[in-house]
Amino acid sequence: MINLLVTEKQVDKKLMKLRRMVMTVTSGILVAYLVSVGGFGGWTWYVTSKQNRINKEAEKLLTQVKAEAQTEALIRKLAARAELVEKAVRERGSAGEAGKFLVDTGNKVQYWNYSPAAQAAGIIGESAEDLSLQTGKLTDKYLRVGLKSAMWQKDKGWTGEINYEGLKANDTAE
Amino acid sequence: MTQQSNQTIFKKWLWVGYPVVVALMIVWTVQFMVTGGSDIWVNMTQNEEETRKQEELVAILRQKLKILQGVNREELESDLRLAVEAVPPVQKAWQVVTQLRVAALESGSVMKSFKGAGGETKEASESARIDETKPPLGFNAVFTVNDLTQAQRVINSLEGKLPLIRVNSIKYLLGEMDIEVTGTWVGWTKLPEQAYSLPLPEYRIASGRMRTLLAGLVSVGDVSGEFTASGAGQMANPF
Repeated sequence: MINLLVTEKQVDKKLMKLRRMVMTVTSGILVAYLVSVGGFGGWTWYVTSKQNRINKEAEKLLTQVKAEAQTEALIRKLAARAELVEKAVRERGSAGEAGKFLVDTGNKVQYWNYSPAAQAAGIIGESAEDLSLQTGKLTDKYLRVGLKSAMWQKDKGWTGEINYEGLKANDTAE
Repeated sequence: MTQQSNQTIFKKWLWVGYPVVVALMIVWTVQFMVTGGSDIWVNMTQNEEETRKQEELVAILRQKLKILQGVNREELESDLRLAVEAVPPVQKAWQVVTQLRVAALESGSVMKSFKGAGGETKEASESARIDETKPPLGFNAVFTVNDLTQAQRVINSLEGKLPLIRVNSIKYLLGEMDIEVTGTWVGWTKLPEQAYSLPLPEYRIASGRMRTLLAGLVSVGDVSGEFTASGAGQMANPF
């Protein structure tokens, strides 16, 4: 005779074991889930309240900044125009300084043509060496200096035409 | 007997409902948060992004407000007046003529003639803007001078006045100087949209540099006034 009761008890025992394991795992998952939901809820609350606080602060500051709109417009206008002034001064060159330098060289100037990009001067000299000497004085300030032509006439003596352009690095204004 | 047996089986397997219910609950809530009608997850991440932007705005506004409330308005207005005097927002072509006449008076030379040379002659109010793409009116003036030193004094006088003048070309030939100049001007630029939420531009350094660059330059209005008052010269209307 086969004892069926023993087999049924064994099955019940295995089932109980399985049940206990499933219940434990499920409970663990449930706890983890509840903790996550709680955390998410807390994070939601934190973010929302932080946003509300920042929005309120931004609104308050905006009102205060808008009340100072005239001063802000003044600052923006000044910043823009100060830059324009600087650009205008930088770009206009300095004809006065160029003229002063030519005067200070002591060269005997017959004519002088100036543009912000390049200059030319006609000079009178006592000799070819003198013309060369007068040309050399301009090399202190300018990068490219050249005696374009030299001429001797009995009644006028020596005349030369000097072309020069480009300020040297230590002379920024022209 | 069968009913009793069914009840026993139901009780025996009731515990299976627990993991099923938990699994269903988790799946449902996750779906509800991520893809459900509430879009809680999407909203939360968007909110966080918006909060970050608002935080940046608050930082900008705080800094701006500190500057705006601590600024000396009189000083600002005085600097802006100087800047506008140096580079006016409208073309002041006829003021260039005054500057040429003042240069002649200051240097002791004689202005023989002058003429407008190309460009836009029209002057306009600040609201009635003129075409800024057209070049400004240039002036050719001929001065009778004793020598290059006196010619240089004319140029120095022109370059030492406000509004700023640009010397485009000089032709000096023994006792005569032909000079071409243009007055500087630039119209107002529009303030940026939503300027209140943008940081303030750095104006102190630019303003300081401007003051240094313009130091020693005299307003032509002051000079012409001086000349008229002292009787040292006559600033007659050139037209």
